[in-house]
Amino acid sequence: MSSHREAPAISKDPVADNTDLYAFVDPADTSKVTFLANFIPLEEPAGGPNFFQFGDEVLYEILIDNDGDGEEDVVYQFRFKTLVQNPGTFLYNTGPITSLTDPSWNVRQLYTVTKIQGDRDEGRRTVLGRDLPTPPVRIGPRSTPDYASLADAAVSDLGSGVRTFAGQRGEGFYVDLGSIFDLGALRPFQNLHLIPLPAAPGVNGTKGFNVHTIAISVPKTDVTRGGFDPTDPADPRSVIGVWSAARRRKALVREKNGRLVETGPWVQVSRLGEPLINEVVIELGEKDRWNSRPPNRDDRFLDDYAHPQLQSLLPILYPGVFPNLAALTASGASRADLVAILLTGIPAGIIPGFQNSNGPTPADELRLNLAFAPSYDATDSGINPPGDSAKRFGLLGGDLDGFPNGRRVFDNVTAVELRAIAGVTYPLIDKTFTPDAAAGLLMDGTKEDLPFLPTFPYLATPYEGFEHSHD
Amino acid sequence: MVDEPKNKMSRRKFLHGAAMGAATVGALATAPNVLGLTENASAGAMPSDPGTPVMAYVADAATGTVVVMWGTKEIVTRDSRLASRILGYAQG
Repeated sequence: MSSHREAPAISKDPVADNTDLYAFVDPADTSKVTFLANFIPLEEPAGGPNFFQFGDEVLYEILIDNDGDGEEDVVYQFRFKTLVQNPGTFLYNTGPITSLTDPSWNVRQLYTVTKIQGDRDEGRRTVLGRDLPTPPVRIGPRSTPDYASLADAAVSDLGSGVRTFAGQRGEGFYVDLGSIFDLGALRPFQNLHLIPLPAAPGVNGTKGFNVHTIAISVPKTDVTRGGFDPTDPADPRSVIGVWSAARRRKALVREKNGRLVETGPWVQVSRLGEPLINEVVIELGEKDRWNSRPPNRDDRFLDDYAHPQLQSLLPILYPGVFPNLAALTASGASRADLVAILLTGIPAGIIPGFQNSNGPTPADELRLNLAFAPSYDATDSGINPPGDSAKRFGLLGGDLDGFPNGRRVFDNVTAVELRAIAGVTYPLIDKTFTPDAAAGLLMDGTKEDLPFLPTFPYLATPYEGFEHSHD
Repeated sequence: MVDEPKNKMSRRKFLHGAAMGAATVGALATAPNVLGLTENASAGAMPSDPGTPVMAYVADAATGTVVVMWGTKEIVTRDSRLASRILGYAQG
């Protein structure tokens, strides 16, 4: 999955597991940029009575590098605290929840958002909002009869053009898990697989599951270098690099009475910049280490990006389909195209009129050139393009505002990265290379099952526990 | 509203101070030697607060390295006598 259960250690700590990160110029107000970071993979919507919630002991962060050194310059931290109104019942709610202050809502979470300028631990701290409400989880028609209204009420306007939301959302990342993890099969092309089956439509493996999202929309000038107004795409100051992370305290003591004592410095247990990297690019033995490190030390992993194992596997799994990729891999050539896309941003002069590089430091950040205006409208149809629309393929589809220039909620990042690794982007650095015909067609044949919203926080209303389907 | 870190001591300042202190007491082989401090300024919990748990563990018995944590702070110290005492408890 994008970054769900992607490393051995974090797969055992779902509350801190960062699953997806989105960063895009806000289509409803192009003076702003929106960041969405998802946590808690594959939430079963009916998972009560202790429904999914953020971790009170986890420090959730969205970090921005605006000068290309791989270090954070602006950080938004989210901390949660749980309030139990009535510990004398086992119930999450004792009646319909009709407002965020409804007395029948027993288990609630509030959160505080802090902005840090500079180092995440030692920088200048500003509390943007304290004890902000989260919505309940979506349970069913009796408990949460008007869920959309509850979620809308949990969007907090913090002043100075800043809005936040934290709470449950429908999973927006779509992927054919069942097929891809069955020896790399893509159902639409599985007739060509080493172990063939008849070609078939893709099956979205995340259908029917929820996640928890922290979301913040801020003026672009809040996160650019020196408050620069990013109107010129060619100006390096228009580019930011974004990643998200979760940290826990270094020490945990479990006392016999059930009390947990946590102390010591914050230690990073999860991070996410570019999608799918720790999933399928970083080697198994390095995944936990990758999660623990800051992006400015990603040079250690450079070889994983320059020679991804997946480019070797594709010609093996699909015999005769990728001869040019096989030859490229056999040559030992470094995939400088992938290094640029995933680690430094694409420099000027490669794609006419485009660049999203903020410097030469190899750092796994979701780079976003803020000067490119959204190419879609903040409408239901604008944010839900058809599954086969070129818009789904971001930059490969001609959208300068799409992945890998940031990431919009509907971008088909799986297909874009598959195609790039299969060689579609190698001609950017070697015009003599001809990608295999199949490389430009790769996809798993899925799309999201719930509609994205045309307004902040854009991710879908969650699936409800009472009625949902994973089929 | 701006929240300044409650503890004004930065990691850099502390290390500088520790180095100065080590130079002063360097002749005392058994004196605790602070090797480093990690702190997250956001917590602000002080070790003088009796309600704040303080945890310590022997990270390396051979060198007498002991790690002490409170709040979001951590000190790594080389204190052979302290390490020996803790190990003594562990050995019963």
